[in-house]
Amino acid sequence: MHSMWKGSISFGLVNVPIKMFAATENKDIKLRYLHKECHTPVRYEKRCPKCDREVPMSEIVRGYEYQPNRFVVIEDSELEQLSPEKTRTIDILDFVDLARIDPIYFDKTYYLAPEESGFKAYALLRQAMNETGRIAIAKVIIRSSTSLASLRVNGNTILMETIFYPDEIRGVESLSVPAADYAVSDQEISLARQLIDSLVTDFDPGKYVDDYRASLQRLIEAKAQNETFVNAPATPAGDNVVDLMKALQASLDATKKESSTTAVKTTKGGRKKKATG
Amino acid sequence: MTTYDIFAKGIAPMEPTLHRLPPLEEGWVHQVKWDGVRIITYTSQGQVVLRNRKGNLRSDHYPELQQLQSLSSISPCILDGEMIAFGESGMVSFPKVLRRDLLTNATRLAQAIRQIPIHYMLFDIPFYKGRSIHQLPLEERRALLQDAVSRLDGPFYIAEDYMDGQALYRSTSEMGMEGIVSKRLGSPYLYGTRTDFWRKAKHVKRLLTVVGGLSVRGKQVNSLLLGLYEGDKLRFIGKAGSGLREDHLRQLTAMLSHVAAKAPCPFQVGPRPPTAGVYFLPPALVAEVEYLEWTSDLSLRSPVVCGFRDEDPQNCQWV
Repeated sequence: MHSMWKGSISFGLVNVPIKMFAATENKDIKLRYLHKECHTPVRYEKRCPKCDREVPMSEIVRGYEYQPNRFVVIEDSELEQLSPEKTRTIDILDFVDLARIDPIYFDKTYYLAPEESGFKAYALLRQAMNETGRIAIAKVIIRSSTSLASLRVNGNTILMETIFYPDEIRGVESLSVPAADYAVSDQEISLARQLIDSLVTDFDPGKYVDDYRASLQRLIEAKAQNETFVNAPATPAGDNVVDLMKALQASLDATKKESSTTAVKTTKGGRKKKATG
Repeated sequence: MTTYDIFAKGIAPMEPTLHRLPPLEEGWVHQVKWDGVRIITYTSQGQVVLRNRKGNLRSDHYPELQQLQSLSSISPCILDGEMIAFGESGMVSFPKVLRRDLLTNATRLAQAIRQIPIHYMLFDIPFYKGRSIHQLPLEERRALLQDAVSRLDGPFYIAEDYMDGQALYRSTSEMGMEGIVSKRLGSPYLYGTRTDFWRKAKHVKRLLTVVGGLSVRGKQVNSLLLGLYEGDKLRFIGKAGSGLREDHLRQLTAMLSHVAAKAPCPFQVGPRPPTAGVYFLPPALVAEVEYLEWTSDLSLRSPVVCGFRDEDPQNCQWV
């Protein structure tokens, strides 16, 4: 794994130098767009419809559409002034109970590993969190934006989950769902409970696989295999190594015959021992 | 290092020193120098872990080697060898094995396993049945290796020992192989050391290449931009200046006035050629070069121009 960020966890007077790693990866299979006729990947070009030409990056600025078709232009330098200081710290603000955070708040998970100099402070923080059963809420700056994050312990590793700000969580007011006291019969509820009980098991993530991705993978492999039959030159029959060793032996034998004053003894497997000097 | 460290981080393998010729005296065995990627295998508790010379993991790159799980009776053990692949001509091809070594994408790897079969040439076993046996003499380690691997199914081979280094050097040269490695009888395995117990003698290799551009200093041509065809696409394989004679340079410089200053770059694959101070040419001229080996980004190491040849550029094919 490549670390994606280096910084430190700041916790009271303690500073833990750490490296951050993405804990998850997206394994969706990427398909590219090709021109149907010649199978060339199509290119996206940035075009200005008014000037009717392709526009290079050097001529592109950002703008916000504050009214239809009316823009304020925002310069990169202005954005830079807005972004928080790049302090590279994970600033622990509070400690809370994990159960108090609804999973809806969790966004992305990262592993935090200490730098060599931070082993002790890391172990200390880990043990304190384990013993109190608390998780930390911290402010963290990643890629010039501030986010909220939680820190918790999993095995020997401290995990960081970025969490959404409350105003990023949508409300449920507009959804139509039955009220809590919606009438159902005792018989119906006992049947539903039976059904749930019959499906109860321990959570074993290993048994769930992405069926769609697996089928797509198989389709690609099957097609790619046919492709190689069309394009690939016939693979030479037999074992390349054995053929090459035989050819080498033949060349050695020929050399020996030329200088036949030296007696040679051949042992099994083509190994040669010089009998006389 | 503890056994745990050895298996967690990997060892640095023993390396040979470079010599112009193999040793003449008695007391050495000689082996073919296989032109591939050094791969160290660690087997422990039914697991097979592969690392390259720098200790980077390669287990996912060569799933064929998982068959070495069957070495459980001598595990934990460490095997040292060279991973090789063959080109269409039936000769060992470093670019081919490198293509395998750079692949991690599962789909492409599945295809590459069929297209580029690999072969593992084993030559040492520094760790055996849970302890380091680096102090054992070469011949004893070799016997243990032979005993362990000879019964295995799979693309595994043991590097052949030859007693006559001079003959092996000549024959490998005739066959266009990379060179030979000579090993001192009775010598130990020294981790992470470049030592005189192992000596390599390499052959200079030759190649016909397509000239795809000229690089200019002042107003004089000083080197060639070289390429090889990969199918119908020209791959950039590096710059070569040494070996060019005064009259070559004069003629090439005279050519410049006929060359468009902004001709399109003929190289379509491979590393990016330089563009500053470069005149690109349509691929027509063929140069023969000598070179030491391929670098890991598939450029020629230390190329020397031997001359120009009247050949069809299309015959200058990659692998």
